[in-house]
Amino acid sequence: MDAFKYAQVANYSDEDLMEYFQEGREPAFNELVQRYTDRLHNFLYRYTHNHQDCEDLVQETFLRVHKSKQSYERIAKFSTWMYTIALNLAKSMYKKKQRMYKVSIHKDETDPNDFEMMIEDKSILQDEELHQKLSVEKLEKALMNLAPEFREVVVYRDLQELKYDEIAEITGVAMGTVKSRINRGRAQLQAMIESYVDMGTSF
Amino acid sequence: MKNFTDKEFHPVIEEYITDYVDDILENGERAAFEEVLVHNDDLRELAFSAKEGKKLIQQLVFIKADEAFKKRMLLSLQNLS
Repeated sequence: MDAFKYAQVANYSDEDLMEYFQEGREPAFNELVQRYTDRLHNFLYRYTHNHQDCEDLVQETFLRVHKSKQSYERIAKFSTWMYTIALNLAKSMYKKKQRMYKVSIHKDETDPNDFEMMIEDKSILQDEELHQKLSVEKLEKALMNLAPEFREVVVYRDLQELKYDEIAEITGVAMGTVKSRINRGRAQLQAMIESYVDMGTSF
Repeated sequence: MKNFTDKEFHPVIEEYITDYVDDILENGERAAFEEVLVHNDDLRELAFSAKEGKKLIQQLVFIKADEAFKKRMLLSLQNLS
């Protein structure tokens, strides 16, 4: 590989930058951070729905990339390698949070009949906080504003809890089409609701 | 509306999305599908948005767990035909 040129840093591919970084060129890493901070945040938001968590995870991901730079091999795309790290971190955070929502009632050591138990702590807010901030009216309105062919299958599936084959029979469309429409109906609903929410607020 | 909802995917992929959203994939399948999501921006947007959309509907149903609401929604379907 050619010698690293700072003036050319913006023109290097991600993989080249990673190799330069492996050789100790810190500006190469800084360029990767600049390229991927927003993209990584957007990627993680889809998973966490929490901007503060995203910021923490983005920071942690870059920290892992920095610490584990020598484990990267050029056979993989840099973005794939990094997104995999991010996804694993997000999963770990999710599991950790799930544990946080439960508090331990320690057993009385002096009582042989007592035992430790975990109870849910309602005072700890979960990610569903986002949803609770949304007005019901807007949700209902968004559902009503779905394209009729999408609303039909979503209502049958998510409100009536019908099976996919039952929906296919009722609507007279193929099951594959039913599933495709449900996917899009749900996604469009989320997109409509997202537009109502001030994304700058911290949830 | 966002572009990712317009994009068509193979029926097998669509089935994976619904199974992913319905949370019925086995651990191995889920991990493999999430790997695929990492590589495909539109597919990831669709899957994650659908998942979020389903959660929103569940939230709505939970809050408005009354028959009047369901009847109103079903009525809206009848009016379509």
